[in-house]
Amino acid sequence: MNQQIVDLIIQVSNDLNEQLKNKIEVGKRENADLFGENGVLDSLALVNLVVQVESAVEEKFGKSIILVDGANGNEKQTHFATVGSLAEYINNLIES
Amino acid sequence: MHPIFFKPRLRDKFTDDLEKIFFFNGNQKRHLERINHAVEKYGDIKLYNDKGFVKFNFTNLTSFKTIFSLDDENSEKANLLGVLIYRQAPIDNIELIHIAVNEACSFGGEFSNEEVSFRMIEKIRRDASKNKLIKTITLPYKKTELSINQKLTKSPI
Repeated sequence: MNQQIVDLIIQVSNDLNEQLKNKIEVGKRENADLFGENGVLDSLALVNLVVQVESAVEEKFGKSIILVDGANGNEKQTHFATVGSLAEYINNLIES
Repeated sequence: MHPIFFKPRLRDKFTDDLEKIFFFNGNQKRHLERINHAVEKYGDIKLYNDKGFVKFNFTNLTSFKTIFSLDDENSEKANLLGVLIYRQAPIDNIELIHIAVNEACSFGGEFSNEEVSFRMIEKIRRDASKNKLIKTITLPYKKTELSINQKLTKSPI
């Protein structure tokens, strides 16, 4: 399933890239940087990515997920670092 | 995570902070494109003082609302974390016009893990969801649309 999720994130990233000056390097697949120290997304671009990925996951896998913790979350949001880390996080949410 | 306090109005003591966040943001490259986009669409943006509160003026936009996020309820001690400008347009949609966050909320900053943008949008979504007319929210620039029932954060804001 993980590769399907990677494909889904890449698809959303391609769409988002049309609006970005600093593009997500989708050719790097799992290693493409998203958000964080080496990331290309600012917080608003990340909001766009998250909303579109959540919708795409629900459409493809029939599971509603929320990727952001909110005020009670304690963990660092490191799952947004790369396409691979995000795919793994989504995979865990879908299987949980 | 720290609590964030949302205010519809901002004391004028924050004028310099608001200017810095809005017009001289450290993430200037990305932010500048968005400011320019907002100016193209809604006209020149100015800040002005109204009875002790700082407010926005857009040349071509008369009806809009603003929400400010602060890290303390007491505005004497608080830091300004972000601002979100939005309007109801058309009647069944909330259009987010512009969002700007303090550099401290960017990666590596003191509030980098606070998800301020998400929490501000979630606050608007939750408030708007009480209005039965409103069905969607559109995000700025990309025009991504989400259902009014689509939560942005798992836990309370």
